[in-house]
Amino acid sequence: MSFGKEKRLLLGLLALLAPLPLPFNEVLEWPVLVLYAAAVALFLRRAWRDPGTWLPGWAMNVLGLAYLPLLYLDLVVRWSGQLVRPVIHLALFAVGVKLFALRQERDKWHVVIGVFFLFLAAMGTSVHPSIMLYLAAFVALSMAVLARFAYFSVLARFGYRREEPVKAPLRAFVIGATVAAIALGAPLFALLPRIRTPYILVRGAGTGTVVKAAGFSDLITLDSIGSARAGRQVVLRMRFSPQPKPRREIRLKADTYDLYDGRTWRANGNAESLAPEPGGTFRLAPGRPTQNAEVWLLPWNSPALPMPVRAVGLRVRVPSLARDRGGAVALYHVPPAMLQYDVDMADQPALESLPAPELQSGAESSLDRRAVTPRIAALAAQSMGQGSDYERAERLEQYLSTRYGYTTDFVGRSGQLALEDFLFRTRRGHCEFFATAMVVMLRSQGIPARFVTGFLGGEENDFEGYYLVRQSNAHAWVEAWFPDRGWQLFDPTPASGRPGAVERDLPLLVSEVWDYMLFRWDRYVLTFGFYDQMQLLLQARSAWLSFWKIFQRNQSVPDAGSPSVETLPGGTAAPGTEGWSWERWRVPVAIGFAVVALVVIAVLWWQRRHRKRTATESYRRLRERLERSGLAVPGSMAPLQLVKSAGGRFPAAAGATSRLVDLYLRESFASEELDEEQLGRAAESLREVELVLKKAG
Amino acid sequence: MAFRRGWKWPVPERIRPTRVGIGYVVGCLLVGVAATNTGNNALYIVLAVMLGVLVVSGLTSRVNLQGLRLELEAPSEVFANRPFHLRLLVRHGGRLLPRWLLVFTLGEPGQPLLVPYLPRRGTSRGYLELLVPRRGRHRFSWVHVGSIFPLGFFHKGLRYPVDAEVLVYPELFAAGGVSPERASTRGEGFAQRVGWGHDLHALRAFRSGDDPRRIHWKQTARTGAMVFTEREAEEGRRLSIVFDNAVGALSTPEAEARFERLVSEAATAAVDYLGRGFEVELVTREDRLPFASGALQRRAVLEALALVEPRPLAADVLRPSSADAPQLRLAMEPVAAA
Repeated sequence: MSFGKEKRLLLGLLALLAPLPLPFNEVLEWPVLVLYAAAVALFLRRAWRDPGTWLPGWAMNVLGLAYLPLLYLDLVVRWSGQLVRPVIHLALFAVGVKLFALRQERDKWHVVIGVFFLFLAAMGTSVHPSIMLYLAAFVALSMAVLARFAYFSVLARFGYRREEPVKAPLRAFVIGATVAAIALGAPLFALLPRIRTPYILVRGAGTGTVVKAAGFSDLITLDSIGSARAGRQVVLRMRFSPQPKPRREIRLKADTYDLYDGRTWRANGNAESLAPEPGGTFRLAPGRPTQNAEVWLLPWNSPALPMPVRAVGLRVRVPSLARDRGGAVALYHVPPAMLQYDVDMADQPALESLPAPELQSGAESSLDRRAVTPRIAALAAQSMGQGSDYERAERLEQYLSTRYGYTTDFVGRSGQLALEDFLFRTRRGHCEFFATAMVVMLRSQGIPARFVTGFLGGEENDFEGYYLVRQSNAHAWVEAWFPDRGWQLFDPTPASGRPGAVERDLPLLVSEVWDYMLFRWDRYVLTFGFYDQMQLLLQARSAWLSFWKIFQRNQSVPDAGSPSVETLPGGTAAPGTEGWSWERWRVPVAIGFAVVALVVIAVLWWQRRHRKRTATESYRRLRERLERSGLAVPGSMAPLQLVKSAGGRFPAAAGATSRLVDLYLRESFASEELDEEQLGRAAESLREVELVLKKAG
Repeated sequence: MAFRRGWKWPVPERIRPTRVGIGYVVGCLLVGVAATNTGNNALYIVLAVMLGVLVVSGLTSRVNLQGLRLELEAPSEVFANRPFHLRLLVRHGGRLLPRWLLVFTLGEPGQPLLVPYLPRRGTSRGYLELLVPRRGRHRFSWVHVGSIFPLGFFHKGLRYPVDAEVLVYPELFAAGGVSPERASTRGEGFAQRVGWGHDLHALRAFRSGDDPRRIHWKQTARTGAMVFTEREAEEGRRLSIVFDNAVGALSTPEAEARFERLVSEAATAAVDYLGRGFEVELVTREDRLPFASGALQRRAVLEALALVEPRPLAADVLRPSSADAPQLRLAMEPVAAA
């Protein structure tokens, strides 16, 4: 195959691969891609035949001129106001035409530039993790193209134009280099400086920046919690005392909402100001505290203080707090740094003390029925059946959690009929849909209810003895009022959809794995930003300090993980710092090192034992052995003299010595390249001599 | 010719970016600007992988040049201004990666050697074509290994120490290169006499007393009369080359060129006459090689002329060992009032 032919074929393949993700990213129409692919396939067929005649320069110019009206139509008529598609169309056209006009070396580089542009467009518009497969394929093929181009250019300098003097296999190199480049790219990606907020194209439609950290505000849509749950940022950390484990599930109330217009939830705005008692404790509810929780709240762009639903008292260094009718506590400002507060908790949710709804008032917000439709009311009546209000509410909770499915695919559901869509069409949703549905259905039956957002569950860090609550623990549930029971908590979300409470089965596992990948991709790739970089650096610093802790027994380690350091009683680092500790990994790391060392030693030993010595090396060893056995072997002794001398002293070794010396002479003096078999014979002869010498003592 | 194996560490040479490499770096910068400006992490991924490719390319190209063992071997005769081939043996002792696209040069004018592919623990042989313009000892301290492998972004080089030495003989002229006006012949000349040598002198009729072993039987059979073979006398085929190198200081390039030309003329004459079976003597101010013929004498004469240097002017006349033998006297007019 001539160099020119191979270059064209490689370029054609690269050009075919480059725009493949574009239709998936919805920036290129499938018919356009098919047309382009057909043109490239035609080019490849022609390149394979290597006809020698290609499109002249003037024809290419004429085609370029002919495309101008199409470009105008594309820009002005078809995609008015948009630039991406027309530019991609233009790039595809340019690459397609240029492929048929590859006449000079520089033409090939023009195609490479065009293909690279398409690759950038494909990468830049993609938000799916599978793009990494495309990236790997493109990098591998690009490396093959560049390596072969470099190879051909050097060969051409030495007069080789059509045939390679020797076949130089590059496949293993290309695969290895691709893997290495992508592996190296990972830390580089993390360290490259970020200036702007990560910007991504949201899946589906439209564009926008990444959802802000919390999603809790005075106004939320049914997508808000779902969006928040996509984040893995740590919201707060808790440590319980005197028992290190929480007595009940961790459920933190952050906000309550009364007003729902069918599309968005709003707080009713009636908040009271709370002042501390003389001891500095804010009394939230009557009741005897049985457990205490220390909470470290990280900055999260909200004044709300997530509070355990069992909270009866709160100690926080602020002069006053705001508490809404639903019992949600908030500061009067958004804390700029980490905030620590202590919470006293009872055994049961402290809802009894919350003010009862004013049922006589027509403006009672917990009975806001604006979102109630006849269909919803009918469904509520049907599903709740007969009995007391509480029994009916429990039945409704059961109905929703068992008859409806859980999903995080919430995109585009927050329209006017989002709730009806959920109840009657899709029958799948996440916690906000379930909670909203239950609230609206309860209200349709005259039962006051409200929508509560907060966090459910948390990750236990048993090493440090605290619980980590992340944005992914965000949750929504329901509080309903009953004349005989007061406010009661209901959670209609299916168990599999509740944070930290899932049923383990295979489909769920598979979906979790996939969701995990998507989440990791979204969180640590697409939305990776400056803040994450800082966290990474702080963690690295913390790990380094913890590493040194191994060598500094009985010395406390300064905390290194958090922007606002708060030292816990006892001198340990605050859980909020997320510090590393090598203590935990000391033994596994030592075992790992030992295993690696053993493997290395074994490999070296094996290599040393099985390495084929050159005949010269065997000859040197032979001289050493003979000398050690008492034979005088001066440096000036020629090889044939050695044979004679050794044969006289050790007749049994004469043959082997002669064979080895013969091979040595051929290798050293005749510059003969000994093959494996000959090297093996040399080694065998040496062993034979060694055996004889050993027997001779 | 001297030969030794390399023993020092190879020395890295300057890295030169190629046009492709410059284009790639510019591409990285553009993608970097786009990524920073938009905050699009997909572009950051592209940038990171592009930089990763650059790093891999750099590391691979460095490794590609390392781990070689070079052996250099010169031919038995090397003449100035005449291309010759140095034999280069390249051994690759590594087990991990083969070597690609190695270009070997000696930093001298000449054709480099390309080794397109060297497998793991493989060996390759080739020749470096060289042209050395001046006679004398010529030392090759380094072999330069360069490559644009793997992706043609950068040209990297490594110098391997080899410590090889070549004695370059004077330039030989073509036949008739000895300039008559600069060379003067003395003595009895090349009168050919009948003797007991090996070369044929003449055929004549057999006379009484002639040695019957020298009857030319073929001619005898053809002519029907006894034909006798006369041979030339060996002692008449001698030449004394007297090269007076007492020329004083050579202050100008022209004078140096004239001196070198004289050396070349002496070498050309010596090679020519020795090739014709003559016994040749070389007389210089510091050296006197007695009459001898054959390959050893040729080598001795050429080595002496390869190393001959200008000497201070002398008043005495340089004389050959035998006044009877024909002489080729080569001397230069004094070029400076030294």
